[in-house]
Amino acid sequence: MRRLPLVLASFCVLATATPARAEDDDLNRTVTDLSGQAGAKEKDSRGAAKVEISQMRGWLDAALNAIKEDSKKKARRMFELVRSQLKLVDSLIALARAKDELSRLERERTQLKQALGKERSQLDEKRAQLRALKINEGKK
Amino acid sequence: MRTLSVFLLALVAACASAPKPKELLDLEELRKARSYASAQRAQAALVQESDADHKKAVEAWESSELDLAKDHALLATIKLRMAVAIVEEGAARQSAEGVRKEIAGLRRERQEAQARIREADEQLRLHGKLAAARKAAQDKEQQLTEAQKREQEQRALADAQKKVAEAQLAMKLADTVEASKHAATEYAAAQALLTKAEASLKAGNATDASATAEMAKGKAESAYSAARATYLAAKKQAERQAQNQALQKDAAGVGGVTVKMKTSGDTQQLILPVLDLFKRGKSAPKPEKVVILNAIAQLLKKYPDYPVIINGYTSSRVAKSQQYVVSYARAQAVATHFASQGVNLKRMATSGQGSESPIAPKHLTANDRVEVILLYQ
Repeated sequence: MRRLPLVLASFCVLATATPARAEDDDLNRTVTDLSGQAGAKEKDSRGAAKVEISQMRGWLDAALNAIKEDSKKKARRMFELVRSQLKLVDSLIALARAKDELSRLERERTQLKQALGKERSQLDEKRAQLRALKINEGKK
Repeated sequence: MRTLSVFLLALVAACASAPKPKELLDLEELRKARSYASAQRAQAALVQESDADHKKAVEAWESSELDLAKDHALLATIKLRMAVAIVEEGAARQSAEGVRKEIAGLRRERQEAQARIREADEQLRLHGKLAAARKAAQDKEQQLTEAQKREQEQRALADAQKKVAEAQLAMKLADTVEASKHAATEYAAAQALLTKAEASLKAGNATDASATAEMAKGKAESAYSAARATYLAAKKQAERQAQNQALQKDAAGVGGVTVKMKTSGDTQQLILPVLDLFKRGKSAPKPEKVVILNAIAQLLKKYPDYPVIINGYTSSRVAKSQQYVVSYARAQAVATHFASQGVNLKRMATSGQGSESPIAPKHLTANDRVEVILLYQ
């Protein structure tokens, strides 16, 4: 019976310590997960959202520090920022791709216009040749 | 008093809110941009979320919870930027779609232009082919024309050669009538023209050669025509002279006869007197004298173109009234004898001259004679 208070105390310690450790693990997993996603985005972005990704990494570092300092609330706020930033990066990548595609199309359009201009000139020249030939034939 | 002032300052400082965090200021700047209005229309839900976060940030700032205000401001900024990015992406995609359509239109135009260029090229190719065919036809026609021209030239040359040969022949013909002598002017002109024609032919000038040769031929023919009559007359005269000379020679060869020649105007008379041919008063030739008559008959036969006059004579011993009768009978008798020897009777004319033109004293029997006279010019 003498040991009972000790057992209870240990139980209480364990009971309170286990959820806290589980939450830390969850936060750490979240950091890992978000870091992975950030790395993937960085590869995918091809420099399109460099600043945003750098900012995101700063927030992940801040989240880790917050976890270390046991400031879980702050860590979660950082996570929310990172998650939002990931979506922003997605949007920026999509925007960059759309702009790239637009630029590519505009270049193609310019090239086509130039080629068409040349071909129209060629056509005009050939038609002029034909007209001259017909006029000369008429003279004969 | 001094303590009160410090207290009041501390109170004002405590009541005054903290300065807005940079993130919040940046957000508010962003919200003023034109893109915010566009995002509000196109991405209303996201902008509303941003607005909510902005509101929370302002509230946190007002509550001096600066970290929280900063985080909410960042969240609001991210969402607003996302909305703007989505709107811009949409606009870019829309522009891209427009450009794609334009590109499709340009491609169609290019295809049409290329098709027209091909058509024009084909037409130009056909024109080129046509021009080449025309040139080939022209060349062929030219070759044909040249060949025809050469053939014409050769034909003209052959024609000229023929005409020159004809002119040469005409000249030779003219030579046969001694046109150089009898039609000297025409002949000389013909000769000069022929020389010129031959020179032109040698120089290959067929037209000139042909024309000149024709003229030469004409002149040569004229010379021939002009000379022919004179030449023939001269020839005939020469022949006649030769014949006359032969006749005189042959006549001189007749025995018992002394040939006499007499000219009466243009007419020459070769007289063969046969003396003492008849007995007195008789008209039959003495038999011994017949041989002379036969020789004369042979002479007359040898020269059958000469007209013959037979004049009969008597001596004065025959009665005057009988002289012409007897002399005529004598001429007739001699003509008959000649006819019997084969002399054509029609060429002989007879006459009785009586005792006229005695060749000896009147009574001599030598006057009983005939004179066979051959006439010629």
